[in-house]
Amino acid sequence: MLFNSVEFLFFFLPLTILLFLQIAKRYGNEPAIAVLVACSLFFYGWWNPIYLLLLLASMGFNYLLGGMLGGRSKHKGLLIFGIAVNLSAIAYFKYAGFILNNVNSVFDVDYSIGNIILPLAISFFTFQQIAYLVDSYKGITKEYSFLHYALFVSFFPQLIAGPIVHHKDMLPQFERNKAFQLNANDVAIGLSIFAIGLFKKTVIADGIAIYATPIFSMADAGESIDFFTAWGGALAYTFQLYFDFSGYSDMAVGLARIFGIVLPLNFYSPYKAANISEFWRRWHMTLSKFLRDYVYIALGGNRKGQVSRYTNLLITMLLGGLWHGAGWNFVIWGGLHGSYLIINHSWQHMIKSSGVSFVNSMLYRYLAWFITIIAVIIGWVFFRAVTLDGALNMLSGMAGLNGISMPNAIYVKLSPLHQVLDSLAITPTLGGGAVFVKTWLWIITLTLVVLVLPNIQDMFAKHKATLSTLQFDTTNAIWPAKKIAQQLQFSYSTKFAFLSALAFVLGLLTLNQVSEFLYFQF
Amino acid sequence: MTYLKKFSFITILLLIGVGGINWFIDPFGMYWSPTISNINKVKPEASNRVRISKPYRVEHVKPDVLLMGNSRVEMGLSPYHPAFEGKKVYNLGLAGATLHSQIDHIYHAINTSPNLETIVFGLDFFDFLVTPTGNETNATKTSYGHRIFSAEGFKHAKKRYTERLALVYSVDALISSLFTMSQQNSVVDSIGPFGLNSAQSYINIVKSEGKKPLFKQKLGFVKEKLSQKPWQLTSNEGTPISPKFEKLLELINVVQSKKITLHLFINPYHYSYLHAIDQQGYFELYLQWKATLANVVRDHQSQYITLWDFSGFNQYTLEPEKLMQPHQAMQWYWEPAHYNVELGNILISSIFSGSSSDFGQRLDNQALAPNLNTEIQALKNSVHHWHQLREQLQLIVIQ
Repeated sequence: MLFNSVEFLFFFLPLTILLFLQIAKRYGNEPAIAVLVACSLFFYGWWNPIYLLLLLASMGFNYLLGGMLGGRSKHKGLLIFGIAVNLSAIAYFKYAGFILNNVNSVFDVDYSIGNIILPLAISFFTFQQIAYLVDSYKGITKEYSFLHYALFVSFFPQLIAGPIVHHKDMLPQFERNKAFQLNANDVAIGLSIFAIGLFKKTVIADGIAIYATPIFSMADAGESIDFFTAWGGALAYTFQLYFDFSGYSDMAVGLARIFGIVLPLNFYSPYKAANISEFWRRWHMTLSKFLRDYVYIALGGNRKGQVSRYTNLLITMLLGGLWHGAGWNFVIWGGLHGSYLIINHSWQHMIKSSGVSFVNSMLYRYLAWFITIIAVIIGWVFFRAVTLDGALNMLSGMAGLNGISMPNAIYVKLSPLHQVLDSLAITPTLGGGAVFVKTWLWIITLTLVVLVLPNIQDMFAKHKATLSTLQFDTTNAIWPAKKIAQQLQFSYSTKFAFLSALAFVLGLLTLNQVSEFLYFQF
Repeated sequence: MTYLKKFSFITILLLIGVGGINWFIDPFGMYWSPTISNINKVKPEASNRVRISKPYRVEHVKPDVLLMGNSRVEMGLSPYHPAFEGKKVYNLGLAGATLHSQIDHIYHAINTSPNLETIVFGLDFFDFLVTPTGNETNATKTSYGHRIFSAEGFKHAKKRYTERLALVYSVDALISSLFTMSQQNSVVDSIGPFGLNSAQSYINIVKSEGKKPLFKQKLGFVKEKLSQKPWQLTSNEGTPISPKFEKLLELINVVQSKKITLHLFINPYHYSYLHAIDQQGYFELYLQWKATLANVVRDHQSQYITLWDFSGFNQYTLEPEKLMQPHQAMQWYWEPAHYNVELGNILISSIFSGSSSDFGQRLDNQALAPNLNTEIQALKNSVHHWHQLREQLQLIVIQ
C-alpha cells in the first residue's frame, strides 16, 4: 500500500488510528500494540500476501536467535549462522538473478532460476534484524517481548522504505508506562510533517519525473543526447530522487508521530553538503550509519592505517551500491562514491597537514559544494540509467560531445544573440520550446528550494521532529539566505495550519496520478 | 480554534475552492460552465486532453451529425458549416488516434446519440498501414475502453468516475486552470464546445519561426515513419484484407444496419506530402490503398455509404508554399498534412451538395481507374515544384 493512495489515506490510516486508540483506551497498551502489529502486517500483505510469511518467518527466526545470543549462548558461530541465514534470503531474492546472469555471460551458459519477485522491503527488515543480532551478541539488547519486537520490525510508517530503525531507539518508546492516547500536539505535528512529505513526493518528485524519464529512456535506447537535454534529464532526476526520498522520509516521520512515536532522522538537506562525506552524513542517514557501524567498522575501519581505511571505505560503498540494486550500474555508483570519499579524505588530510586558511572562506565552501554536487549528479546518472551504455551516453551528452542545441522556437526568439550562439556552436533543433522551458524552470526553482528552504528537522526542531538534535546545521555545508529560512519554524499558528493544509490538499489532488516510490523495492 | 481545527477547516475550504475554480475555468473543455471573455473562453489545455474529454462530451451533446478522423478532421472540419444548419454537430476528431480507436469512438457516439443520422469520416493512408506481423487488435482498447463502453461493469464505471473527478480535482487541472486564465489573449490552440480545434498555434509558429520548420518537421516525419518498418496493407501473405479494412467493413455494416449515412473521405494532402510518400517508395501502395477503399465501398454500395477523394492534385493541394515569405500563412494549408477550416468548408460543401465541382470526387467504379492514372501523371508533373521545395528546405534532392 502506498502512502499516497486512496486506500491508505481514506481507509487504512483512519481505521488504524481509530482502532489503535480505542483498544488502548479500553484494554491498555499491549493489546493496542498488538493491533498496530496486525495493521502493519495487513499493510505489508496488501502488496502480496504470500510474502507476509517471509516477513513473519524472518521476525520469528531473528527474535529467537537474538534471545539466544543475548542470553547464555554467546556463541560467535551462532551469530555467523544468523547473519548467513539473513543474507542468504536477501541473496536469493535480490541477487540470484544478477549472479546467474553474470555466470551465464562469463561461462557462456544458459542457467535459469525463473522470475523471482523481490519481496517488498526485504533489505530494510533484514538489515534492521542483522543489527539486532549483532547487538544481541554484544550484549547491547535487552529482553524484549515478541510483540514489541514485531512492532519494531514491522511498524508500517517505516517498514517499506525506511528509515532503518535501531532497536534501542524504538523499543523503549513502545515500552512506555503511560497509556497510548490521542495527543493533539503529536497529531498536529505528525499531520503537518506528513502533509509536507506528501507534497514533496506527489507534487514535486512526480511533477519533475516527466522531464527525467524520457531522457534516460532515450539514452538507454542509444539515441544521441545533446548538452542541454542531457543536463536537463540528469538534473531533473537529481531532484526527482531527492524529493521522492525526502518526501517519503517525511511522511514516515509524520505518520509515526501521529501514533506518538518519534523516528530517527533519515534525510537532512544533502544537497547543501559541501563535501561528499557530509553528503553521506545527510543522505539516507540510517543506512550510512548501518554501513559504518556494521560493515566499515567491522572490516577494521581506520584502525589499520590509511590504505586499509581507504580499502574499507571502497568495500563499504561498493556494498552500499549493491544494496540499492542488483546491477552493475549500482556497483559502479557505489564504487564512484567510494572513490569520491577516498579523494575527499585525502584532500582533508592534505589541507589539515598543510594548515592553509582558505578553507574557511565562503568562496572555498561554495566551490567545494559545486564540485560535490557535480560528483553526486554524475553518480545519479549511473544510478538511474538502466544500462552502462545509457549512462555513458548521458555523460557524453553532458560533456557536450553530442553537440549543443536548443529548440528552434527559443532560438528564433534569441535572434540578437545568434552570433554569440553560433560562436558557441549552439544550433537550433526542430520543435517547440515548452518542454525545454518547463524543464529548466523546474530545475531553477528546485535548486533554490533545496538550498534555501529548511527541512522538517529544522522547521520542527523545537518540537522534536526526529530523534536527531540537528538544528539549522551548516557544518561542511552551504546555506544561502539562512536567516530567511530560520523564520520558517513551525508554530501552532494559522499560517502553518494554512501552509500544511495547502500542502495536504495539493497532495490529495495528485491521488489520481498515483505512482510508485523510487525508494521502494530495496 | 485549535491548530487541528484550523487545519481541517482550511483543508475543506481549499478543496471546495479548488473544485469550484476548476469547474468554472473548465480548462479541459469538459463541463462547459459559463464562458467569459478574458477569463475562460480560450482553452489551450483542452487540445492535449481531447482523448479524455471528447468521449464524455459527445455523450452530452448527442449530435445529429458526427465529424470523425484524426487531427486533420479535428482542425479542418467545422461543426458550424452552413450545411449543418439546424443540426447538432460534434467534431470527435482525435489527434493521433489509430483507426481502431477512431471507429470505436464512432460506435460510442452511435450508442449514446439516438438522433445520429450522418457521420463524416476522414480516412488517412498512414492509419491503414500494417507490418507483416504486427496488427492492432482490440487489446488496445484498454486505454480508452472505460470511456466508451460505459455500460460494462463496476471497474469501468469506477475508472470513468475517477477520471472525470480528476478533471476537476487534480493538480494538473489546477495548474491548467491557472495557465488557461493567463493565456486568454494568446494565440493558442483551443477546443470549442463542439470539438473543433482552433489550430491557432500554427499562426504563432508561422509568425515566430516561419513555415520552414513546419514543412521540415512534417516531411521529416513522413520519411522517418515510412523508413522505420516494411509497411504494407495486408498483415500476412495470403490474407485478402487487413484488420484495418476489416474494422472499416465492420463500421460500414453497423451504420447500414442502423440506417445512418456514412460519408467516408480521403483527406486532401498537400502535394508535397504525396511526394514525400513517393520519395520513400510508397506511392504505389498509396494508390493501392485508394483502390482497396473504393472496392470495399463498392462491395457494400447503398444509399448510406459514399466515398470521396480529396487527395488528388488540384488547385488547392498544389498551393505554392511561398517559403520566400516565411511568415505569411498559406491560404489552405498549415503545413503539408493539415488543411485549414476554409478548405474544410469547401470539402464539406462538396460532400453535402453531392456535386464534385472542382474539388473532390466520388470514388466509385467508373472514377477509380482514371483517378489513379491522373494521380500518377500529376505526381510526375509536379516533380519540379517538389525539387524546388526540397532545395528551399535545404533537403538533399534525390534524382
